[in-house]
Amino acid sequence: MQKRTVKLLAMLLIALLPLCGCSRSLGERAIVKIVYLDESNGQIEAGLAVFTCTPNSDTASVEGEARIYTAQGASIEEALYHAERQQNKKPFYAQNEILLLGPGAAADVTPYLRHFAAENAARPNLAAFLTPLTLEEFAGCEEGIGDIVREGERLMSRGAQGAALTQSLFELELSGESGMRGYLPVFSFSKEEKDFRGVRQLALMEDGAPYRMLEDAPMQLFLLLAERSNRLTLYTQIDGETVSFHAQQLCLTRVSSMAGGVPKLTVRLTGAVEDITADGVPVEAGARQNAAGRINLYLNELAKELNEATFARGNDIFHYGWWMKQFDTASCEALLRAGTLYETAQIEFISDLKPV
Amino acid sequence: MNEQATVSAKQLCILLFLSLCVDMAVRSFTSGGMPPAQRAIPAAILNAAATSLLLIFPLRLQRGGTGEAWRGDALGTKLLSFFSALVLAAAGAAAAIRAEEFFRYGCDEPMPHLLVYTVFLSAAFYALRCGMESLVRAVGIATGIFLASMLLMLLSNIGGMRLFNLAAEPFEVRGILQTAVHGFVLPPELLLFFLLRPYVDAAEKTPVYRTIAMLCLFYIALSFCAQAVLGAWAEAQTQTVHTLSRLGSLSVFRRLDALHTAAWMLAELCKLSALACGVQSAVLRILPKRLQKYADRYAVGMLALLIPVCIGLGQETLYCAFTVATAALLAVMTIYGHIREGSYAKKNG
Amino acid sequence: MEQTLSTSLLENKLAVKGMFGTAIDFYTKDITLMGYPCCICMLEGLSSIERLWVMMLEILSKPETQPQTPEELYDYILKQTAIPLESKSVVCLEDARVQLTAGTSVILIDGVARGLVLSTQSMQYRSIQEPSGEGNLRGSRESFTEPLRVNISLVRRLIRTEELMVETMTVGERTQTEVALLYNTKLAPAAVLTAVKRRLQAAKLPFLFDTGYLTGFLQKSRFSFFQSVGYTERPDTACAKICEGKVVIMANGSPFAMIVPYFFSENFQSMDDYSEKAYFASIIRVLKYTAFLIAVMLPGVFVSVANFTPELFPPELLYKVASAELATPLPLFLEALFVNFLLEVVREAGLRLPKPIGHSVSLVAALIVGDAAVSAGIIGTPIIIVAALTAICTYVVPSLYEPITVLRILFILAGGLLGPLGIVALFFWMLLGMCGMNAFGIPYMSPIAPGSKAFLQDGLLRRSWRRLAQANFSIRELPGGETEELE
Repeated sequence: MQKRTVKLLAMLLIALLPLCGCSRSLGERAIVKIVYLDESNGQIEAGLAVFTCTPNSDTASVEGEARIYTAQGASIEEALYHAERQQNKKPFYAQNEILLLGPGAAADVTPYLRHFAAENAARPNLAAFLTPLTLEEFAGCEEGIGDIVREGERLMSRGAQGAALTQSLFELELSGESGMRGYLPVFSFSKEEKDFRGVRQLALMEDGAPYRMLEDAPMQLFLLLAERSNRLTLYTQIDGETVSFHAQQLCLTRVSSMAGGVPKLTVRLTGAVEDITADGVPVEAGARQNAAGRINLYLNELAKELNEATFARGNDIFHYGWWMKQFDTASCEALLRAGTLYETAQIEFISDLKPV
Repeated sequence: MNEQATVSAKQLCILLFLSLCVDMAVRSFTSGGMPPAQRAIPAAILNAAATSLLLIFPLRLQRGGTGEAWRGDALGTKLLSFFSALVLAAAGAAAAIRAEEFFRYGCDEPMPHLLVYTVFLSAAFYALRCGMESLVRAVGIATGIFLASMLLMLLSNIGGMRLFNLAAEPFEVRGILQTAVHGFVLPPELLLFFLLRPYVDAAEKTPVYRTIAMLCLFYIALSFCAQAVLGAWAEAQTQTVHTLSRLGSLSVFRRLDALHTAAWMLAELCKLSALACGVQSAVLRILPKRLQKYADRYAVGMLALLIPVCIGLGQETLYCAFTVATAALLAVMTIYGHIREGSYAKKNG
Repeated sequence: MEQTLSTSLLENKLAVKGMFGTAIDFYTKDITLMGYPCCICMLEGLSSIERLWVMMLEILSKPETQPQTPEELYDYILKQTAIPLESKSVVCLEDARVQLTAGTSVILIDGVARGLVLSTQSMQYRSIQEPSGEGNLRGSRESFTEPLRVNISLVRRLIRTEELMVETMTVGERTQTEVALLYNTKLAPAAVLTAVKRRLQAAKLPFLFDTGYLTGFLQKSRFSFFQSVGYTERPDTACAKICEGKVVIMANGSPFAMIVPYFFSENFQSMDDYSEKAYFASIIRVLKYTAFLIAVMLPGVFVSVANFTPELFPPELLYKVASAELATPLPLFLEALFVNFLLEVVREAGLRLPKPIGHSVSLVAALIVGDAAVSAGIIGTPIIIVAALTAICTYVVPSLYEPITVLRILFILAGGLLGPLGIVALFFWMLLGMCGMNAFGIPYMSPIAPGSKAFLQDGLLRRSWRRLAQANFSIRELPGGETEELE
């Protein structure tokens, strides 16, 4: 009886041989690495960066070669569909982790992000970027696509200066009635040199549109406060002097309290600051304490500006509301429902960096 | 170990554990998203306690009793056996449907339904041919693989866990109770447990409460991880755990969900085979002696017939029906067992 | 009914001669010992005439002794001389056959219905050498040889307690091959022993030249890729198994001892594990288990991933696999089958060819498969690498070579046709098959499934000797299940 069972199963397996054609070989798939979406004249524009390989049984020197296929449509689905039809292979999106949103789409990124955020529409770690490139400019970047992909993958891990600059789809605030809130990284591009410069700016988003750009020092502090980074390497102007310093292994502590029905959060930054220079000259040992003090004051002011640009507008990117709720959930919930949490709450940032 | 017993109590409990665990990884598509951990965890504890309470009487009857009359043989009548077979077959069919839907959901290249169901049923049939012993031993290994997959998934998502993703809501008893009631299910696997109990030495204690506690802990860990990584997104996801598996990465391997899906499919095959074993066990009591050697075919045949029926009924209806049917059958079995124990005790003075 | 010897020398001579016919190596010599007619019988090549005559001279050197009757001569030679004689005399033709074919000489005395057996064995056999497989860095370098008695002595040298029992029986109608059972009287379960003896006695073989012939009779009849009997060439391994309560079966003419019952986890154990440090031995064990899984599943998983779930590949690897697939004429899973087939052909050719031209095969294989086929675009590099890695991993666990080879092909088919579902289903099937096997009532997968602490003590990992010595493991501690196995 056991032999019969084995024979039956073996026959079943052999009977499946005609199904050889059911699976799709790797060579029949178009590996999509980047999806570009933009809006122009009421039409959605889509661009797909597809990597192909030249057939070569000896794979020592094989690399992916990029091709860009573009199309337009009345909706996102239609535009993507037409772009996919520009080539004859089945598109393979499982390795696509980069979504670029052009200047037209940046007016309201919400529908684009919601399209990909639907369950199983894309991989949940798809990272969205804003880009100043138009569709034509993007289509002309076939040579540089490899750099974008590599840069994007690097940024998604711990990129330059140890910061994870990107946000995956599941981290974006898309569920509210208003549009997307939060921030998106901006992929910088030099049109003259046709060179991708990586992410040098962050766009603060509200109602699906950017309302403020951050770069350099504010961007670094922003990433620190958003717990995307734990270090600062700044080169900035403080009291008319060009100051640079390096601080790593920084630690943020938050202490919440309630005073007279008003929630308060104290955010303290601690750590060591080193390699302090002023106008290109290393600060001497005796003056480091003073220099650190000035840096702390600078960071306090910068943090205050960032809080006004984010929390005060109801864009709680740094999750201050969550920390406040740990102290008194009911009161904070009540204030949130009343729409006054962000107005009345007080955030105090104290930078307490010490020189090495 | 007596001559009848071929399976240890621990193995049976591992079978129960895996069968119920896999339902947390491969969720029903109609069950909605995972509730926030702040509500889900207390609700899970409440449900685990409720289930344990409901099992006190059947378990006590099985362990205690004056004689051999009921102990080890939960199904005294053909009618009970028939209904048990029906419920277990429906549960097996539902498991196969859910597994097939999940497999199709996660695959880039979906396979024909018929082919997938054929593979599932063939695996269950082979498991029946190999016997209960083989199945529980295989389940032990499959459980190890499943837990390793879960551990890997949790570890690969550690970097993505954020404290502020944990929902901070006011503590509401009503909300927790609502979540508990909505999520309470009496799975037919409990019925399976009692059906397969005769395979275990009567004197051996079965750590059922410990198994339920482990399930509860497992759910708590998953719920916490899902909330910590996905935040509010967890509530919008039907396949929350699958989403977690898609996010986790280890070094250059960034898309490990196919690996996890394979481990979960293995667990689903074990569960389906276990349910088929239960059906076979029940069917053996109904069939006349000359047909008993074909019990495995009848069992798989029942599963195959119920698949289209269950597709038509829908998952939510099925789970409600399972809860009611399992509760009813357990109650009837307990009452019937009490009566038999009583009459047996009287007979023996 | 066995023909017993008579008191007539002539009749006995004719009977013995009639048994061996005109075989050219059958030697008889009529002599007179102390006045009584006698006849010496031996098989040349198995016995030494020189040794025989030394013994004869010993008898003849005592002229002062004069037995009065043939019986007295018989007793005198048996009890009062220093000649090496077997304790058991020949009383029938069957005994004579057994003794003569064992290399002894038989002296028939006129007037005595028994024959004396002289230990004049001098047969040529292969000396004790290093084992051909089962290589070890440390430990004994001896291996079994063909003569059964030599092999028994090798075991007896290592287990010097009275607990070691050796029983013999004959198997094979035409060869009457002697088979020995070695076991520890205190550790070997009686039920297992009884079952082994019963099955061996029930084995109706026309001939037996290797212990492998007995495998089918010792295992349950259901088909399985794996077998619940093991083999070893090493006396130390055989002794270790005896000390675990197992039964070792040896056959005359075979240098491989069979071990019953044999479990899956033992394929990953070697004597070196116990000579090295526990942590290193544990690492090697884990390595072996991993190698087994790679050997069985890697080609199938590779094919499945490439065709059904390519997102698992890192991007650079993905391009290379895609590029190779585009360049080659065959689909990936047919390529995998073809390369594996080629590897088996090369392996078989290398095994059967005479040594002087053996390495030509590897050169040709490397050039053709490794270089020309890839350059010509017939096979892609990724599949070659996968096949090579698989082959190397197969040799890590040589005792499982057969099941690995067949299962590998099945996994390739399953992965190529059904993708991940096929791999999972076949793995489940394989698991069930292995878990369903019992080796004389004990689960074949012990101590993995059902799990026991022995798996972490001396299964997947190896604890230090201090711990192992306390545990004192024997197969009696493993769960027994299927009683029907023993019937």
